[in-house]
Amino acid sequence: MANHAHFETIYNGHKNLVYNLCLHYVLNSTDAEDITQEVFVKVYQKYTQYDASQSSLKTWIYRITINHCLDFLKAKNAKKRMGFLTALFGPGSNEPVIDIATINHPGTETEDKAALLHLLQIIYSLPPNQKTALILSKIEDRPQKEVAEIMGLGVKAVESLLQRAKQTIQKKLTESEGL
Amino acid sequence: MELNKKLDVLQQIKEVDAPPFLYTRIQQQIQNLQQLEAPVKWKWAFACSTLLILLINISILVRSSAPVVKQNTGVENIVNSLGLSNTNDLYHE
Repeated sequence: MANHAHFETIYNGHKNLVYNLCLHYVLNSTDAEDITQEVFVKVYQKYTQYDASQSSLKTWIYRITINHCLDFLKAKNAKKRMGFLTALFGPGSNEPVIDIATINHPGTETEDKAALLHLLQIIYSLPPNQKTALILSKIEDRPQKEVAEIMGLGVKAVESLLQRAKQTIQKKLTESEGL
Repeated sequence: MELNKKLDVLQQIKEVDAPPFLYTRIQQQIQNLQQLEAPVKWKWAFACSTLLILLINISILVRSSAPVVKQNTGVENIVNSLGLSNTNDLYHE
């Protein structure tokens, strides 16, 4: 476990990174707050296991945050599917879906809010790896090498994920524009 | 590319500050977890006493399964040395 003074320094240095990353995943400030808490409790508990020779502290915290966000979304999606009969009898889509009306991301108060929310809604439905690659590179604006390091993949693999993510987004944008 | 232009709108997302009350909540959660966890001394005491009980049980099991060696009692020695009968028959037939 980290000692308290050191933990406070770590917290202050990374709280906005974690909170904003959570917002990009869950699109809801209440859920983002809960996940941020869990992330830092985990950081406190597991700090002695952190190996600085393997990765930077920022990368380590990024990974913990991403894993928590993806676990949260997986659990939320599983709960939603259990609640609807169509999940049993319908075609059974594994895509998580979010209603734009429920999105509560404080960072989206911009001129192009409608377009932004629509795009975030599509990104929300992407498979986990594609979603992560896209969020880290297009929203967090991390260079591909850093994205690869955070995800534990090669740069080529990240490029491939981004390519697939863009294809899916293009397809969904075309479908929605055609409606 | 047109899609890249559309994706550029994501750059407009503003970074927001984490709520100030979060640190207090995190500290509280950490404190709660520390209170739930038993002190290390108790864990060792529990482990040692469990081990002791197991060892006692194992030794009892081992002893009870060992073959019993019949020992001649003092009375039996006297009977044998005097050539007396060691049965309950009244009539020697």
